[in-house]
Amino acid sequence: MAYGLRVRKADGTVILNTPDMVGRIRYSAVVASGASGSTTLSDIAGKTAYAMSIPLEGAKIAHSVSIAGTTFSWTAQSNARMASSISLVLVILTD
Amino acid sequence: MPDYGLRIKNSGGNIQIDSLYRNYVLEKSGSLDINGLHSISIANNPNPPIAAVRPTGGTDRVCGVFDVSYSSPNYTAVRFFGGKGGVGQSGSCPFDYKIYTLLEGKSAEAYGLRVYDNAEKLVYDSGYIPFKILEVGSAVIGTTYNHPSYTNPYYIFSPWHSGIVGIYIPNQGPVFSLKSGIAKQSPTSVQGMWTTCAQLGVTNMSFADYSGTTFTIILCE
Repeated sequence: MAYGLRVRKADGTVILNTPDMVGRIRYSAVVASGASGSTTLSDIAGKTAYAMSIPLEGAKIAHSVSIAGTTFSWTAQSNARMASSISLVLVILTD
Repeated sequence: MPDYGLRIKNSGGNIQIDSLYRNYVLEKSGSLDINGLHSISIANNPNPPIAAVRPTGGTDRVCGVFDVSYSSPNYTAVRFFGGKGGVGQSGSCPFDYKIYTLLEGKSAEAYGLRVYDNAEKLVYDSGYIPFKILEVGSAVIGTTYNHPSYTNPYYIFSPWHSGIVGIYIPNQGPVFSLKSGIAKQSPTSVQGMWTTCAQLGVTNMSFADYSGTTFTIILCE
């Protein structure tokens, strides 16, 4: 091991090791059905970030999400037969 | 830059811990074998949960996250679904699940490492199991996603797509509500697949509407 942190449980099991990539939260919001929007997250520049969307109303369609540069966007999804869900939108950092 | 405190990087240079961004940790894990929906309660918590699944059944057995229950300001449960792949099909799906969140309270451990941010929120606590990401990729429903470097991981799927299909059978046929999930193809592969959540009614038209077919897949430990 060149450097880093290794964490063990009391029984010796390693729960965090030097190669591990962990998920940390940068942003979350509950967004309304039918609403689209975006926010600028200047501090994610140069970092590895992932956008996620989870419906709060499973019978409807969750928002689509994307990251372009430092802008995180969410877009309501619906069509003639399916309504837009309230969604939980997230940005997770691994860097 | 963190205002103060500690920064730990992994051997690839990715930050694992600092004083700015709170680390997800495991709150709950278990196994289900369901044909339909099942709600798993979580501690009332204002921080958003992330749920991962690991299908363990046949190649046509599909599972996923149906939705998250929210009662402002707290997240209270995760609802999972399981079923057989295909339109109008029925059958149970066995799978394992993990729910990660940001816990407000410290662990019971009397030793180790604990980091707080400048708002005195818990950022990292070595008494909790961290959320470890193995691989992130892009996949398409109906196409097998291979991950030869990792065996039997857990999966996060975003977004969970929805669909609605009407089947014309004279004089009227069924209308099905579909949800996209994942089905295990092998220990090192998985496939996004539609499963039937409900029959909504009848129709005298044939149609198929889907919210999409591409998704981000996150493999985690």
